[in-house]
Amino acid sequence: MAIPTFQRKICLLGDFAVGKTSLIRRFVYNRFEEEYLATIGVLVSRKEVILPHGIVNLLLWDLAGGETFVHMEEAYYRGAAGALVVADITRPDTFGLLNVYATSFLAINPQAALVFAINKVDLKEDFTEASKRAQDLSARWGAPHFFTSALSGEQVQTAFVTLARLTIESHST
Amino acid sequence: MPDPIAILKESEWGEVCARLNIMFAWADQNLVIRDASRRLRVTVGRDLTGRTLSEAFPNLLGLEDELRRIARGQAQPWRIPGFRLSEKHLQPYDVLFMPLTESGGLLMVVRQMDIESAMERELRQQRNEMALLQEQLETQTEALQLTQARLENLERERKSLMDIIALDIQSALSIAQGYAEWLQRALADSAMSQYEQALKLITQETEHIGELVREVQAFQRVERALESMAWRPVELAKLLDAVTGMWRDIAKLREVDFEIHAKSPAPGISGDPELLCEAMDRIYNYMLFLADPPATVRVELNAWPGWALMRFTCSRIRKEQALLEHRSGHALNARQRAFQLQLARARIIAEGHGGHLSLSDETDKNAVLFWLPAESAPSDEALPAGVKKPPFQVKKRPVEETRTPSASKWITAGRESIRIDVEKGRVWLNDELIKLTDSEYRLLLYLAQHVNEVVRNEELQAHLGKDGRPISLASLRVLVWRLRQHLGGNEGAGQYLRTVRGFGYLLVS
Repeated sequence: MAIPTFQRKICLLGDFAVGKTSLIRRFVYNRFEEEYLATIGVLVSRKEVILPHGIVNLLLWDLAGGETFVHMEEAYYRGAAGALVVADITRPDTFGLLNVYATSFLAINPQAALVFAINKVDLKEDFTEASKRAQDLSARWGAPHFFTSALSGEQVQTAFVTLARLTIESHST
Repeated sequence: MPDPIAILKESEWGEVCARLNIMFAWADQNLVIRDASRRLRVTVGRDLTGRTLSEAFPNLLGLEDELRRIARGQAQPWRIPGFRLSEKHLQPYDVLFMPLTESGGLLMVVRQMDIESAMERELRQQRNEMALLQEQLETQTEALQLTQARLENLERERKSLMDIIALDIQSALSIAQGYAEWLQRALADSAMSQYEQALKLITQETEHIGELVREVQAFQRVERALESMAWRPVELAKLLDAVTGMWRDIAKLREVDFEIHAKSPAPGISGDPELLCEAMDRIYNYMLFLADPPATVRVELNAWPGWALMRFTCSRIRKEQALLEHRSGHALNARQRAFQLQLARARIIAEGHGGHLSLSDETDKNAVLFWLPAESAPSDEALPAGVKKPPFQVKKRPVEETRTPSASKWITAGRESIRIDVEKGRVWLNDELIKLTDSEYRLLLYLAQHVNEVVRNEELQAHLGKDGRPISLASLRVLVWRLRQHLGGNEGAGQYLRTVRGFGYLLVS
């Protein structure tokens, strides 16, 4: 019997410089670059994930950050099965935007899956406040959260694989 | 079925589109490409006819359902600005998918965005970098304001201290001088009792001067101790018990009792236990001075997010003795000023620990609030009525010197380019003080204590862990990476911190 194969478009959302591109680079190519270069438009990367459900081809849409209010959401979010919504643990303001991104994304893709990534944990030792805010987010959206580091690779794989699994499960229910 | 590409090629619009670098592909309802403009074929570098859209443009994978819906007129046209045609194409395009209502199928219009994208990249990069800089600036401004507030506090304390010293020393000296002169003039007088009284006053005032000098010396001692303080975990509840034990008998003689209410578990703090004992000792002394017997001094030890709070209150106070913060040194009598000095010493100890001391006349109890930064915050309980959080929080590490101290206990490594002052917990790189986080410092110190030995990853993970839980290997790698950056990376002293693959790390002597 042939192994089922799925194609899933995943959007990476979040304020500028929170590490969306770095997370994709770590997940797809297992590398990290120090230099910050703003993303223009959309960069699509692909990664195959093997799950008990079958093979999932993730099409990772890396979007330019910090564009919450320009009403270009539909152009980029259309047809997506899930989103990794990213905040920077060292910049508390980026947490507040997670709700904005999640709301606008689900308005276009109501059935899509969400996962929150609190990135750059290598730069912070005390997670108490961030942990509380992340738990509130998870409870509000019914979506898991992960404390990630694109620099060390901590929890990056887990976050993407969880999202891949959720996109399959949400589609099948 | 008319070929839309052929129509465009033949029309004037085709010419216009070609001049504007606009390219086309036409696909049927199954998304199989029927025709494409020459320029698009050249851009992609292969023949497109007969392929599906997602085969020709792999970045469209996963969007087939949506594109089919557009082709069938079931969904709105879709424009994606800044889209790359494949992972190999870094050039962004403005892509539009629209249905061909007459012929059926899907028209893909692709426009190059050379100038726009270059400008956008430049502007976006600049905007983002500026926004990041602004955030950093705000953080630094906040830190500066906190430091400024702390400096103002210290300055106020210093002025108050100078006022008290000037006033009391001047007053004591005048009295002593006056009586000395009087004694000289009255040598012939035979009334011995007057001499005795004069001598008693002189002795009393010189003792007062001596007390003030001792208080100034105590300040200096505390300041020196704070500068070179070694941070250790402190159990506040135990410390409080110990100090209370020392005072209980003395207090009993004055009909004053103690009540301690410590929250369990007590918040964890770090600092110097001896200095903290001294601060509490001074506060108890003040509370006894304040108490109107029979009275009870109540101490509440509580936790607040980020803070441990010790609140000292007294059930009955002698209001005439109460100190209020807004009173200046001149408005207090000599005895009150002496106690103000003692509280000032406790305040300096609190601030040296990153904490704060304040007086409050909440509900006439003349409370002393002693705040210390907590390592953990087990409680979110509301503060007692009238108690406000401290106005600032400063970093716990003491202000660091910028020059290499002359005499200390050293460990050197990295061909002597790295020097660690173990007593003061400071690190110099080529005679320049570098700032490390506690974890980075602990890692460096541990490696330096095992210089020229390969230290296993597990050993370092355990050493750097908290509460018996080792840190993860990933965290250790990040710490090593950060430490190397502090040491000048692979070009600088960081080269002496070597990775022994699959085993651990080694710091060269």
